[in-house]
Amino acid sequence: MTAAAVRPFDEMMDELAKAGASSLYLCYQCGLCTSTCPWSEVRDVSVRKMLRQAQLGIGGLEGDDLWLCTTCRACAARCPRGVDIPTVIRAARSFVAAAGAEPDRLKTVRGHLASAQNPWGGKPEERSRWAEGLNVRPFEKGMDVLLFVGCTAAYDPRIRTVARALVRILDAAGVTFGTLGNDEVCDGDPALRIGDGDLFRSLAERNAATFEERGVEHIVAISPHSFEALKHEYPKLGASFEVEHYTQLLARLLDQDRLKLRSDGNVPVTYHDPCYLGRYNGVYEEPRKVLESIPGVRLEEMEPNRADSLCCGGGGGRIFLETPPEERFSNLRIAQAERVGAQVLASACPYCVLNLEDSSKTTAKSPLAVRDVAEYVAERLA
Amino acid sequence: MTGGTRKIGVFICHCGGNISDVVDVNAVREFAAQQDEVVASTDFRFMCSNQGQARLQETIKEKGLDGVVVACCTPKMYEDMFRGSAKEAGMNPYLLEIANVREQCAYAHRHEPEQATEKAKALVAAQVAKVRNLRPLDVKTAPIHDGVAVIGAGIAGIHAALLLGNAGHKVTLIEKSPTIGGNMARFDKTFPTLDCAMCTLSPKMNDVFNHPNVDLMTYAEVKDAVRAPGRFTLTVVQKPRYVTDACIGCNRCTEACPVSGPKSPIKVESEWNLGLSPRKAIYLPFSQALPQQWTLDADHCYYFQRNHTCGICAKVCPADAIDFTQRPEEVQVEVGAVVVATGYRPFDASQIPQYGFGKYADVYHGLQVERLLSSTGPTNGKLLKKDGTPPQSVGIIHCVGSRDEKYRSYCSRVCCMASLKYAHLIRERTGARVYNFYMDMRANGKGYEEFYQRVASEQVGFVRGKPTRVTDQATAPEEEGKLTIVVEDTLAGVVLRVPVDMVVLSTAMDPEDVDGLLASLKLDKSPDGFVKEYHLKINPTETAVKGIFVAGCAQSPKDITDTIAQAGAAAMSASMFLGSGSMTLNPLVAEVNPDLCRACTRCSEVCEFDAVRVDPEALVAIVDETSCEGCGKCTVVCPTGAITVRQFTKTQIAASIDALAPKAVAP
Repeated sequence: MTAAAVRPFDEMMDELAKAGASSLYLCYQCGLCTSTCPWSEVRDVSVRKMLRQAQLGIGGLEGDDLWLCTTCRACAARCPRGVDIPTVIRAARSFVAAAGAEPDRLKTVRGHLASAQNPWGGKPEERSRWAEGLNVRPFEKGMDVLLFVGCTAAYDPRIRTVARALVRILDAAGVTFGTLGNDEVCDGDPALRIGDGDLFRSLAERNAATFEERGVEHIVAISPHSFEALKHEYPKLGASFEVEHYTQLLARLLDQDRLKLRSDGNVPVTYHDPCYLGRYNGVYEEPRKVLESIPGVRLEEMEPNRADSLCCGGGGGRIFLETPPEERFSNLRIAQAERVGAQVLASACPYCVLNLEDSSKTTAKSPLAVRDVAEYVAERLA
Repeated sequence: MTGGTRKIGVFICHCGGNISDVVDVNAVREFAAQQDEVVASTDFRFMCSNQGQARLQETIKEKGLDGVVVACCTPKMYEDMFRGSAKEAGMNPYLLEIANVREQCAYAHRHEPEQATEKAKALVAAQVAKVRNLRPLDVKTAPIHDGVAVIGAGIAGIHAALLLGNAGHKVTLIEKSPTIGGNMARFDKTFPTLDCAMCTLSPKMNDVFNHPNVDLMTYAEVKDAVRAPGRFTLTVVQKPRYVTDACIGCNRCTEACPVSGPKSPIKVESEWNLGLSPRKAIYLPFSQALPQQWTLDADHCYYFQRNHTCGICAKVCPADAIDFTQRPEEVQVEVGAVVVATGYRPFDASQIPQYGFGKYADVYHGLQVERLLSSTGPTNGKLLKKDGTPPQSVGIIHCVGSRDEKYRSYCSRVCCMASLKYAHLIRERTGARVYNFYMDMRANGKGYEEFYQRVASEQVGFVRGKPTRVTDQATAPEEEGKLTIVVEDTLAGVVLRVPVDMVVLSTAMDPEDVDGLLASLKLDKSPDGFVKEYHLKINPTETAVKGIFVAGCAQSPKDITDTIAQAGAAAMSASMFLGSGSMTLNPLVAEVNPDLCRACTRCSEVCEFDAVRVDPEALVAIVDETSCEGCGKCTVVCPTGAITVRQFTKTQIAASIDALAPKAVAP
């Protein structure tokens, strides 16, 4: 068989360039992305090869592998040529999604986002049900912070406890806060990562308008994904406010001696860095500091950690897609946690907690409790 | 401005199409001809050619020009040459100006030819307006001191010093470490010939050491430099060796010194062996070191650190050569030229933690492997792991720090060949399986591709891919007790885990840390941190400072072959400069109108070159014309307009601006 003549797919190349993916052409094919990508631990997938074909405009980004990327940024953090691979992936996903060729499950997610303003399909009027029985007030001007709950903490029964825990902590520390209640909509992160920029924009603009209307100046986010979107994507749309992740606030409250915590005996605890908190935003120390402030906690570091941390597998829309058990990064993470003898695996992201808890239940050799940092702190409140 | 007083000629160069393909040179010529006081306007295919210059000179003579504008490429290229031609034709050279219509016009506006032509006209008009306001300048000359200092005595400095000495110049060769030889003396073999490094270097070291025209200062550092017309005064600090030249090299002091002994609380690692072996406080770096004079490291010596409790070296010395009373001495060295040959140091591999340098015992950087392979090294030339056994398998990772936006974006140029050399030597001496992890194999010197072939034929493994990490966490029995290199084999498209016993990191070349020296010499660095040469392509051995030359890895990463070539070129440039006997001083520097100067010192406060001072008696600012770079900072802060840069006075600049933008372009 003779080789087919090269016929560059100009439309795709133009779209990629327009979407800010031109750094793709800098790639010199060293393969560091492939061997750094967490998928290389569980299956064959060559990021390098995808980029190679895309450079020549002969495909590479339209296949099923495009939807594997968790946007964890491990590759971009290392790339010697400064190729912004997650942006290339995002641009390619936009192109493919615009043609309706994304995985079916993501079509459903887009539908939920458009109709119910959350990816899980929960009813908008039930968004604030997580707070039942707690005295959580609507945000009003003069309060210290707006708590941005996020869809997973609002609707997922497992993660609702994280939001409830945070409420107890903030109350204990005397922080005045409120939420947007049922007026909060998805931060837009899922739409953005699965390639629907328009949908992201409409959600973000809706939140931004509510912030503006209620006079919000300082936001605390539960999910690192909300945090990243609010911090780096909303300003591109003209929004202006301060935002931090709740672990940053807790670290500050501890500094100010506003939280009293009880001992938890002598417990080996390990901390899993969420990608969107760590690699995206450089927040590595605050969550560790919060954990270490719990008397008795002995923090053990897994390999890899911090900037090299292993993704849980939940970002970039993967939380909505099925991953076969033998391909779950979170299973590897559980083994890494067990290797350092941890009894508690703490993290600070709804997706991480969901995935890690799933893997702990199915693969841990000994009991390994998976807890969000907020849950752990709330439990040890004096 | 009404005309008649000046006769200005305008010459527009096509640059063989570089300019004329974009700019309508006919239109510019006609436009120039209409400018006031322009008496000749012409265009030519190559103004820099002999014919072009002849035309310039003929026109000057025929029309009696007292002003010229050449519209061509950047003044950096040909301003000096055109001024020289004008001078030969009898015109004051400082009445000639360049209008840069290539880089600043044709190149920048390739796709807008009409606007480019308009801009070229404006640039020409601006320079014509400036020339109208120029006055002839006199050129002063200064005699050049006949001595030359070479800073750094590695292979570059040694070679340059030898050539300069052979040419009859009086050379001071200044080396900061106790011995000359530099990094090359650490090497075992050199590629592609596999010559013994010391066999080729040692004769040169001895030649320079014994050369009647070379004055050698080792263990000495240049602390400061002062520039005057034709002369640099270097302040050199001679560090105390605490060993006099009565030393006979018997080594008894080293044998007796308790430092770094098994029970000694003071331990120090050998810089020479890059931390792979201990050394005593009193030592000779290596057996062929020159001078063969021992050095005492006071920072790690019991005598100095423990209140004079030791001193055993002095007791055992048969030559009475130990002198604890030595102090640093400052020596003034006067020279006419300086060759900077300060070399390189390896990139710190611990900046890339995933490769395990400093974490795993058997991860080494290239220069360390040179020492492990050298018969004068810590293992007497036997390649051994830290546990004393030979490796069964070795992985060599290329481009560690090089070609990487996160660390050094440049290619270090020697690592491909050095890595092949390690592969060959390791295979030859241990029989170990060797893997090279490379991205692109750059074998572009004489005999290099052949060397690559030879090493490939020795069954060395080549994996094209940049490894993501080196790990001791085994995932298979073959990885137990090994270091595993994880990499995508990009040619096969599979991720490999390669277990090895030893990892060699071919690290990038960093410039040696000489920021202080460069600051005192007023030398710039290029963005990569190396010394900035005058022109990357056509003048890589001179610098922006007249009389200062650069050689070897101080300028950019290079191998020994290229270092020798550049050191020779630098020596030649320096020799020509010294041989010219006198230097012309750039008249385009600041001058002071004493009638306007109020001695407020603002000019001297902002000057980065210490070129202006205020005379406290006469109450007037005085410019040192050799130090002044003509940057104009002082002219901006001067409250009275007393200080101006020649040919850049406010009137001259304003005339240019008025011509560039005759109408207000913004409210």
